[in-house]
Amino acid sequence: MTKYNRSILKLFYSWISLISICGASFTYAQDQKPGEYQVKAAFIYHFMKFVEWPDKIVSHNSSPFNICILGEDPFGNSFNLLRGETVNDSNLMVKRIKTIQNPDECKIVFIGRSEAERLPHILKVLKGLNVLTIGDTVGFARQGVIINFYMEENKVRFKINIDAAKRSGLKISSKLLNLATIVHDTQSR
Amino acid sequence: MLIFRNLSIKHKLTFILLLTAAVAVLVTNLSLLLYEKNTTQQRRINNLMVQAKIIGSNSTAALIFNDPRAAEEILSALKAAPEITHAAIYTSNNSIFAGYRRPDIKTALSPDLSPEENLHFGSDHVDFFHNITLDGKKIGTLFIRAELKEFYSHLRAYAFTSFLIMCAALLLSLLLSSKLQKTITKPVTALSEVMRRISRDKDYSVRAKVYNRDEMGYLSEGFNEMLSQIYDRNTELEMHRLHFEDLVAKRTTELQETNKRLQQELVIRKKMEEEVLRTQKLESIGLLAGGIAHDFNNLLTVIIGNISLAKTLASDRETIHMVLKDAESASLMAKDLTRQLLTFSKGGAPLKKPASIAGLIKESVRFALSGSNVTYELDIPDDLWSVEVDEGQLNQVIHNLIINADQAMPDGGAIKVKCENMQISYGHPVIKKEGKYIKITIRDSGMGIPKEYITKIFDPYFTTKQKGRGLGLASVYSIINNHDGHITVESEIGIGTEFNIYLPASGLPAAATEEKSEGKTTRGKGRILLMDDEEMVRIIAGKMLEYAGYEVEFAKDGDEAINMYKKAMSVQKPFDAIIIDLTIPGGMGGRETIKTLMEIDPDIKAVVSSGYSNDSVLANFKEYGFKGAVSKPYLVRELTAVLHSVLNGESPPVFTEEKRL
Repeated sequence: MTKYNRSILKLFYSWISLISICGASFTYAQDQKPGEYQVKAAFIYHFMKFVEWPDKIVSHNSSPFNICILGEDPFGNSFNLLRGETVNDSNLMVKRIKTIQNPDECKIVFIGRSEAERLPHILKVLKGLNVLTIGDTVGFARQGVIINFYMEENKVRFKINIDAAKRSGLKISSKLLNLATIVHDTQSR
Repeated sequence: MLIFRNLSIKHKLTFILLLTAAVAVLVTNLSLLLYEKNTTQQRRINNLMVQAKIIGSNSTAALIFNDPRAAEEILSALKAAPEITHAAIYTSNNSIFAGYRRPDIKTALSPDLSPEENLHFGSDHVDFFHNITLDGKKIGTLFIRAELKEFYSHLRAYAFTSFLIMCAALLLSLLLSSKLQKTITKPVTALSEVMRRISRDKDYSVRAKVYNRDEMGYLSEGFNEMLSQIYDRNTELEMHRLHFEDLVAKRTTELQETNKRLQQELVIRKKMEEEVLRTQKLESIGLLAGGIAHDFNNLLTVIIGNISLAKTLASDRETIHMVLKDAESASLMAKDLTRQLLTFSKGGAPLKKPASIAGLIKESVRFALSGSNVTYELDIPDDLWSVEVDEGQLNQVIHNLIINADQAMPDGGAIKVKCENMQISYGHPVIKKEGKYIKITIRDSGMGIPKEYITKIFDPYFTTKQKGRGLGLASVYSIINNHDGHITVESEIGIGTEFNIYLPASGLPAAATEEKSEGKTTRGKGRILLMDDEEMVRIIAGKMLEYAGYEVEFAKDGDEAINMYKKAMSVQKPFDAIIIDLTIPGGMGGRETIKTLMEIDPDIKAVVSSGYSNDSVLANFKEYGFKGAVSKPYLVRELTAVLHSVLNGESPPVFTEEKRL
């Protein structure tokens, strides 16, 4: 190796390290502060561990387990981390849907804020289909969405409407219920 | 260990029982304690683990959904477990999520988290790390710390209680063992006490008390049995000892008696030995005397024969007759002398006949004391037993003794002669052979015999008399001996002397006394063969026989006699009788000759003659085949009388010694 070559190589090595450090710190920085919707995505994934679907739904092993995002998708690529994960031996799929026309495909439906007006219709459609409805708009839980996210001191919290949960035919673990704020259907209207 | 070995059985047993109990109780208690500790600990740990699992499971949601508040709420439930001092939930990157502290605990903890499930034991606490998992993935760690204070105090309380119980149990066992050991030690102690007593007092009548029917009981019984045996043995032994002493005493007396008798026997034996010695002395002298006497006798035969013949040829009136008579008496005295000598010679057997000696003694005494100033007293019973004696010899004995007694009293005195029958039984100091004896006692009151001479008086040629020959008592002794009798003497100086003669009595009646034919020559006819080695004897005997009317032929010895006899028989001119001399020196003697002649002529009329008047052949001539016997020197009348009776088949007369000195 000539003196010239050696110095070039040195330069190259230092540049690579710099990039790596930056990249690492970037990723690190990313890990340090997960985004709201990353948290929510993780929560949604974990919800599945604490929710029991009826047997007749789950028994079709081959059919994928779908999480449908209805309306505007606030998650972005937050669900990327969940790719390849399985739930009860079924592959996890995240779909974005515009309308609720084919509700059979979805086990979990995240109803975006944009669909707030059409919420009762959506809920009517999903009635009796053992679908876990999730939202993160204020008031959704009262209206009948089973789990509704809300923020509290920069922390992601959620409310669970147990009446809605009952109606959906899903069994929600007490452990989850413990963590959530319990909500009933609006009685006094 | 030595101390222990020498403890009394009671203490040993108690100690052993106590030790056993203590060990048992201790082992039990410790084991239980250990077991208790382990199980309690295990239980506690299990408890802890269960609690951790529950909490862990319950906090999964809180962890997942990042709700520390909820987690803390769950942890606060641990209040119910007072032993748990700290608890905490950590996230998967080991940052604390939620915590719990028991209200009284002031200090917080920051333990080093271990990656695995783990129990850490501290000095007074135990830490448990439990992985909180969801779907197999570890999402956090639960840490619980429980303090062991209570656990330890519980254990201590348990140990203390068990110790108390142990003490109580030991006390109880001490009481029990000290009570129960009696059943064993009491018999043992009692037995050993009995033993001690026995060995101290040697009293074997003591017995051990039998308490139980166990080994000790058997031992005591066996011991008692043994004691009984010992006791019995002892008494037996004692009896034996007494008996033994008795026996010993008896034996001692027996021994003493035997010893006494032995002494006596020894004394007697000594006396007998002395006698034997004396006899031997006499025998040897006798041999000598015999030899001399034999020759002398032969010469004497001739002398007497010739004188006797001459006397008969001379008429009574002539002086020569008196001269010859004196010569004859002198030569007869010489004959007597030789006869006396011959009594000492070998084979001097007396010609014994059973006789009543009363008359003989009377005559002898009377004759011996005729012309003496000494008087005599006779004490002879009528029923005096007869004895087998040679009358001539007995006469000699009495005669000699009386003469001695007479000479011992020169100034006169009295001689006492006593005869008596005696039964001699075993144990008589002098006479050994039991049986009937007659005792003749001759006692004088003369000068006595000095002590130093008493043992010598019977020795031949011993005399204290100036003119004595010293043969008197010697012949007396010899004669008595030959008669199987005994003679003893006792004497005291100045008092007197006593002789005692013992003669064995004869069962046979006394034979009729013989006639003494006086001086008559018995004539006869016939052919006579005379055998004698001495020529002079042959001549004189021949002359005697011829004078008596016989035809005589002569032989020197047995061989010649036999030949002549045979020859005479063969030519039909046999001899009518034969006179054979007994002793032929250097030739066949009378015994062999008669034997041979008897073979030739069983009815041979033979007369035996011998100078040895005391030869057994003369005494028992019939046994040898002779029909008669004469002893040299013989008188004409003797020879002719015997020959005559033999030829005529009559029993021949036995000529005894003349009653002359």
